[in-house]
Amino acid sequence: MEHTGVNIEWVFPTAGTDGAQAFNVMLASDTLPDIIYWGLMKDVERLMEEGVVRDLTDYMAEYSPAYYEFLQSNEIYDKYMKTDSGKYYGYGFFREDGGWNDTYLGPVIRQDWLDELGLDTPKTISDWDEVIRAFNEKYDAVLSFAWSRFKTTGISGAFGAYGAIDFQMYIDENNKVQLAQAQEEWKNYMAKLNEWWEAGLLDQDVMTIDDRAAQTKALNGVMGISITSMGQLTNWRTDAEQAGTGANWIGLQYPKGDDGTLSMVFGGPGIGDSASVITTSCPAEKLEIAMRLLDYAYTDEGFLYWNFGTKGVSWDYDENGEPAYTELVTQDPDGLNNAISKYSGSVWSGSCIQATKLLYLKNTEEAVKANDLWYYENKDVAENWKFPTGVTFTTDESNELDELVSAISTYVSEMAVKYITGEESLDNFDDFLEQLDAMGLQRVLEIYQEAYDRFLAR
Amino acid sequence: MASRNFATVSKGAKKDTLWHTLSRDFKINKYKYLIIIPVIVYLAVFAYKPMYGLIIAFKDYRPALGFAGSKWVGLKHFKNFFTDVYFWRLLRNTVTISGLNIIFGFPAPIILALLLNEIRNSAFKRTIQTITYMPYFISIVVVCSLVRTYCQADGIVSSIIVAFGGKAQNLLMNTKYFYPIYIISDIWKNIGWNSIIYLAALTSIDQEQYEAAKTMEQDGLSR
Repeated sequence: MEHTGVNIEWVFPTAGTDGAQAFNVMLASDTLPDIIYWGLMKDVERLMEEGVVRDLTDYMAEYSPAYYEFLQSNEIYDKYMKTDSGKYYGYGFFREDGGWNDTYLGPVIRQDWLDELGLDTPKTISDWDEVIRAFNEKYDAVLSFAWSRFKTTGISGAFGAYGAIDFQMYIDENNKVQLAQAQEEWKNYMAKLNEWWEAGLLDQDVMTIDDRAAQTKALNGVMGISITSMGQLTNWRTDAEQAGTGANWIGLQYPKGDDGTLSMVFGGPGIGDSASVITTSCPAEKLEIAMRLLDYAYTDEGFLYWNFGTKGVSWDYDENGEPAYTELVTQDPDGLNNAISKYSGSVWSGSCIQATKLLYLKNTEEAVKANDLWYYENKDVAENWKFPTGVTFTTDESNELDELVSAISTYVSEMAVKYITGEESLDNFDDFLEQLDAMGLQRVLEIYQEAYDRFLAR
Repeated sequence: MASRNFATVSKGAKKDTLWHTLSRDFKINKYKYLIIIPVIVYLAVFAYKPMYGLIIAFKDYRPALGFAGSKWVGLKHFKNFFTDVYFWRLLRNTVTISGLNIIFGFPAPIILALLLNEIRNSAFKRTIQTITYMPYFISIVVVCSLVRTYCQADGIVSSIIVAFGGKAQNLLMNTKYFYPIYIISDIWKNIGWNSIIYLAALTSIDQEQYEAAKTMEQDGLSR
């Protein structure tokens, strides 16, 4: 890296290997790299105990002034990047605009079909019901989506629920940790999905398809309304253009309940779960350099470098005085995303602040509009429900959770699927709750609650 | 042809112990033993030494602490596993899939080899062989993707079922179909490759054996 005058040797696992496994293998070896960037924030207490991660508290203000200032400027950021005992350990990923791009997925709809049928944009669940039935009658279409895009949230907010298929913890209004799937509202959400399933309005393939298959279904007109990400939306639009189908996929507002309920939308506070840490393998003499190096990303100059690359090579100021990529990047045959990642470090995540401008440049206009629609209207419910990624668990807590959570999360996901397909009746919901308690749900909630309280007290 | 490589016990051998037999054998077949040494080292280092790692079943293993440094926890993991809510289902599924694999997956390549062995037209035989063992070289990831796509409600298998008057459904959604889908795709992928060994064995059977068998049969019939 010429700007800082520091020589960096990058080490990373080969493409296709399991990241978690590669990380564990690295830990088991004798020497670690000096700096590791990985999703280890919730385990960091344990890693510090085991002597892997260095405590940086004493040096933070001196060796990383820009980063330190950044953390002090925002109380939430500061809480996230400290352990419960107040120790600083790592350099995290932050989005410039906070939670905006954390809501990168949401509902989409074919505007051309809506126009043909003379329907208004659906806003409530009843509207959705009407539109889905109309699409089904006229075009034989169903409600479909890639399963991975649905599992965390779907349209749960309209029912006052906080999760869909995956085991999901959330914070309620009283700052208490709750399990989304144990709530009455979630039962109603499953009931509605079951209704659509029985009527043949929900695609039978939904639980086995991925983004690729969903893209094909979009192209073939199998569905007119769906839930997907910004990037996928762009793909669908490109497909429609190239094939000349006339499909006009646009972002659609998250539906509200008929009474106006909207408890949450997919999103977060714009802080990642990965951080750069300095390991104990890094000798004391190199510590200052390592910390200044990581600090660079949070300076003004470093911000431009991390997001856009080298001035004059991969970017320059355009007529409006805003940074824009040069032709070297935009005309790159490997595609825009790959091109940007050749020159900048923050395309997906990194220990830096991700510029909103980068996201605007990376995505098409429609995708950005969709994201705006999904986020800005629902700002108050997009972030606060989420169990923070900055919470850390102690070793004992982690061990206990390891034993209890895997069985509960499998059970929850299985039952969710059974409720949707009707294999299990929702009349037996109480049995479901009893079984969860028998599996230790209360203890899990206790542990999460304690960890969360400690987090708040930092 | 009896092997003449075993050390023959010479008359009047004083001590007929294993050590003497071995050392005599070693002197005669020194180079054969030397050739085996790399293999033994390989097995010792890569197959036997890693067994030491089995102790993590009794420890709370943490990669950073290593095998030796991790804490002993006795039978805790075993207790957790056997009392887990899903234990019986796991056991049943594993045993059933293994069992079915043996019942169907094991004879399949043998039967294919037997069938191939009977084919006289060598061009036809070679074509069949190539077709059957091509799936082995397709990455398992691609095969899984194919299986998922074919089993969709609008996939090719459902289309065939509908053509015969059945109902279109996503086959992977039905728990009953998982065993056949798994076994069949496994056989499809491996049958050609596994049949090679059996075919090689079949083709090396002496022709005389066949003729002797035929003669015995004819004798039996004519009598």
